[in-house]
Amino acid sequence: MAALDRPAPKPRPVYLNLLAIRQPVPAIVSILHRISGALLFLFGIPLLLWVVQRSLASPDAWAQMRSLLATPLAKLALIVLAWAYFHHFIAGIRHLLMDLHWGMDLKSARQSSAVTLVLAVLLTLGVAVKLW
Amino acid sequence: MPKRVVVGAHYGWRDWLVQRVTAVVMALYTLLVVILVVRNGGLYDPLRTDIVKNCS
Repeated sequence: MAALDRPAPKPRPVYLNLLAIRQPVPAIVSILHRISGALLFLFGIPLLLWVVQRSLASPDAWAQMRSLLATPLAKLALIVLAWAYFHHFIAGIRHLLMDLHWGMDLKSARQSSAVTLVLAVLLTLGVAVKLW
Repeated sequence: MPKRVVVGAHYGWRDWLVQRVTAVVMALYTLLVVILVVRNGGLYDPLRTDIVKNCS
């Protein structure tokens, strides 16, 4: 029978280990878009509301909030949130352009995702320098 | 034709459009804030008048 000529089938089930496979750059940008969105929603908005609330409560509360945000740990958190904002902003515009079928082919999709990654990091570095 | 169970995001064009519109509104708001800050010559910080003075 012909079946005897075939190589032995690979063991099943075949599954993808998301931590082991190398993701293409657009996939990384897409995943980071979700992560940054979650960060902004879960931490960014509450922090922003808290800062506004503290700064309007009283001059004392404002000064207290201000010195708390000046600690290294708080600055680090602010830098992470700044990155999340930049990445989400740029990747979001990229997704909107792709909705309009802009840059849909593989080459430009790869290029724009690389630009997204690099630009977000550069802008974050700018904020980090300003903040520190 | 096999009967398929549709799973995942199948929320229809209305939610899809609402998400895009709110995204554009937020992006425009960001640009507005950036423009206002740049035209203001930086962020106002009363505790660091040295910087504010140097900017103006």
